[in-house]
Amino acid sequence: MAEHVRLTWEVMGFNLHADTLVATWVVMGILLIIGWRAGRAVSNRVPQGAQNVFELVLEFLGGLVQENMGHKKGGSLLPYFATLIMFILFSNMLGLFPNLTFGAGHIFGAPNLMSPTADLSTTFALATLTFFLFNIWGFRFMGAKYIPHSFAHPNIAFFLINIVEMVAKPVTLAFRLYGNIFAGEVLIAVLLGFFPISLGYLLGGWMCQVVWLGFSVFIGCIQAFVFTILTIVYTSQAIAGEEH
Amino acid sequence: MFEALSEALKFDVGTYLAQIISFLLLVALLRAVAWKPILKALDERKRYIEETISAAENRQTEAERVFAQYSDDMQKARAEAQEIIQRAQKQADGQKAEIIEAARAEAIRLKESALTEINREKEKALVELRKEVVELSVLVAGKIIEEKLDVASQRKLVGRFVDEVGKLPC
Repeated sequence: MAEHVRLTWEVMGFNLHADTLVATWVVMGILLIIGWRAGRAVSNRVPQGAQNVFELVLEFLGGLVQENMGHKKGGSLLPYFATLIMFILFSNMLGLFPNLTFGAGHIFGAPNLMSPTADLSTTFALATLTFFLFNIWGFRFMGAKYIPHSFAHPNIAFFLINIVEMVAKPVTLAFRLYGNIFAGEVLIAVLLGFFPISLGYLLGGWMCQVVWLGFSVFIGCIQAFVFTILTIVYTSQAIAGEEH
Repeated sequence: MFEALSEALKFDVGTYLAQIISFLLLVALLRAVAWKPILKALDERKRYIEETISAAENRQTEAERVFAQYSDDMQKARAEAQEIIQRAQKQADGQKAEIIEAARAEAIRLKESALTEINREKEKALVELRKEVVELSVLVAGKIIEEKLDVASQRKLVGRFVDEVGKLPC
C-alpha cells in the first residue's frame, strides 16, 4: 500500500481526502437507502425487514440512555446516537470489503476498500461533535453551574486535571476508533501481500485472512459500540450534577 | 514506510469539516426518513399494547360480572320453577281429592235415587196389585153370589168364615 499515493482534491486550499469522502458518501448512501426502506414501510404492528434492525438499535440505545440520563433529557438525542452507532458500524465494515473499483478514478488504491473511520479527520470530526454535544447538554441542563461542575470537580485544585480530562475525552475517542480500524485495514492489506493468490494462498494462506476478517468484524462492532456508549456516558456525566 | 505512515496519519482540516457536515447531514436525513417514523411506530405499538391489555382486562371483569349475574339468575329461575312445580303438584293433589270426593258423593246420590225409584215402583206395583186383587175378589164374590145359595152351603160358608175369624191373631 505504500506505493499508492492518496488522491486529494484541492478545494479552497484544503487537500480533501478523496477516498475518505467517497467512502463516507457510500456509507451515507447505504444507510439512507436502508433507512428510507425501513421508514417507508413502517408498521406499528408487525415490523418487517430493516425496520427490525432499526428498532433493535433504538431499543438498545434507548435502554442505555434511560439508564444513564433518563428519557426526559436524553430522549431527543436518541436519533443522534442511533445514527452515530450505525454510521461507525457501517464505516468500519466498508474497509473489509475487497476493492472492486479496479482503480476507477484512482480513489481506492489498497486491495480492500477504505473505512471512513480509518481516517483521523473522520474520527476527529465525530469526536468533536461528541465534545460539543456533551458541553452543550451540560450548559442546557445545568446552566452556569456546569462550569464548576466540569472544571472544579471535586474542587478547584483539580482544575488542571479537569482541563486534561476535557481535552482527553474527544482525543481518546478519535484515536481509539482510528487506531483500531486503521490497524485492522493495514493488516488486511499486509496479509494479502504475504499470501498473494497462489498455491500458498490456496493451501492455507487464506486462513489468516479469514480469521483476521472475522476479528475485524468483531472489532468494528465493538468500536462502534464503545464510541457511542462513551458519547452517552460523557453526556450523562455532563448533566449528572443537576439532580444533586 | 515512514512516508506511508505519515500519509495515513495525515489530518486534513477540509476533510474534517466536510465529515462534520456530512455526519450532521446524515443525522438530519436519517432522522427524517427512519428514526422519527420508527420511534413513532414504537410509541404507537406500546400504546396499542397497553390499550389492548387494559381493554382485555376490562372485558374479563365485565365477563365475570355478567357470568355471575347469569348464574345468579339461573339459580333464581331454577328455584322458581321448582316452586311452581311444587305448587302445581299440591294443587293437583287437592283437586284429585276433590274430584274423588265429588265422584263418591255422586255415586251415593245416584244409588239413593235409584233405591227411591225402586221403592216407589214397588209401592206403585203393590197398590196396583191390591186394586187388582180387590176387583178380582169382587168379581169372584159376584159370581159366587149369583149362584143359588142353599141352606147347606150358607151354613158351610158361614162356618168357614167364623173359623177363619177365630184363627186371626188378634
